[in-house]
Amino acid sequence: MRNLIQLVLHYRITLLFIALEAIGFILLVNYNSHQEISFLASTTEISGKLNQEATEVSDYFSLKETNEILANENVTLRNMMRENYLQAGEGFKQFVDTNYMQLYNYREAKIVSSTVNKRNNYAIINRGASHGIKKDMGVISSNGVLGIVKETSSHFATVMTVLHSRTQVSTRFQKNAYFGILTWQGYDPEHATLNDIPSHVQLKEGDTLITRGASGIFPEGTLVGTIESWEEVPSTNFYEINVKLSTNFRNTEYVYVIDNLRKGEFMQLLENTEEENAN
Amino acid sequence: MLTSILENSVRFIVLVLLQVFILNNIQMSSFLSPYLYVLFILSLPIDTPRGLTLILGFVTGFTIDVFTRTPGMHTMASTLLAYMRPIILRFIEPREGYELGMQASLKQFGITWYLGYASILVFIHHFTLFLVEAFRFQELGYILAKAMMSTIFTLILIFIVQLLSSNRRIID
Repeated sequence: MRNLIQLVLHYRITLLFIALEAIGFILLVNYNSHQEISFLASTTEISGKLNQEATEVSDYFSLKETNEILANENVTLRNMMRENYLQAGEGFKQFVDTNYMQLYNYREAKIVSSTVNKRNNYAIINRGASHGIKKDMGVISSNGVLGIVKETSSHFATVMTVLHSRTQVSTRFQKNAYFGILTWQGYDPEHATLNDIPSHVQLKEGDTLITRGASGIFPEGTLVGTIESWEEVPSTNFYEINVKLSTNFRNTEYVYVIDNLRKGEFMQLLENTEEENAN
Repeated sequence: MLTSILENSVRFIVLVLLQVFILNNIQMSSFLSPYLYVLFILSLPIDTPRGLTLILGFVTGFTIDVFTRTPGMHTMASTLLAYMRPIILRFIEPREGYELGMQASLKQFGITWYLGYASILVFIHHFTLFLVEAFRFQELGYILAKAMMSTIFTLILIFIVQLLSSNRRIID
């Protein structure tokens, strides 16, 4: 018994070291699993607030660029206004639409902090549960897809950006309906990889890729990026396509959070289908 | 003793704030991510008890983790750094030994000793951090390259801080 105590005392530093590393490892593994962690949720509010203070200062330096982006976007939106269109047909057309109902609702938000150089990158936005932000909502910038809301606190939310090992974006070609899954390889914040495109599809450099809207997170047709290069994966009939992402993750400041108003219905349908398959 | 505690506390706060609000926002390339906050552990007094060093390493890493939202990663890397520091210190002990209350600084020991001391420990920290971050061994080559490049970057920052503050005692 005395020997045991002496042994423990002798190796107390190493034992403390192992214990502390074990705590670190538990934190790490829990974070890597898909479970929600209250630890993170509680720190979101604090680090979000502090980061917001810091961004308020740094914002002034990019005002000019931001204005330009907003102006460009305004032009695009103005072009879509009804006043700009001449009535083509004769007679009246009613525009109170019962044929179309609103599917997506947009909310503006601002990034208060973000990273691009980690293996798994997040952005924190200044909108949270009190603004109606919920988990799994899509986030886009004016240039294209940005990420998916991961957690919310009352005034902030974290967004798992496309630059994350667990983010998968269902992506299709603009010119035809072939689709695949876009993932990020972890090296280059400007490029991602698109898989699952069969090798008989004709590809061209610069082909535009858009979201497929398959999971109801992003509306169909949101810009993802353009094809830069590709190679055929040996012994499969699929391409591995190198995609230049349209969003610049380094300097995006203003984003839109997308609320799919029919998401509940959509998920219910999927669930029912799967249940039936299981039976 | 009391001055030393105050000095190290101030250094801790300054380095954490510097890391979280400035350095984490420097994103030149995914190969270069400096982690200057390790300077806090590097600069602890040489006669700091090993157990205390370990706990301080753990706390430092955890603090950074809270801000960067990466639970466990910096905690594990910093704890390992804190564990290795006394071992490396013994390994590179000058012939005349260490004196009581000495700080591991550039001014105290000169450039050769300090470069060796800092580069080994910073590399251990960065390599562990990037390995844990990737969480798999397939990317080992990339992780090694990234750890080396970032270590050089961090070392440059450490030297700048040490040179700038060699007159004031707060950060050196």
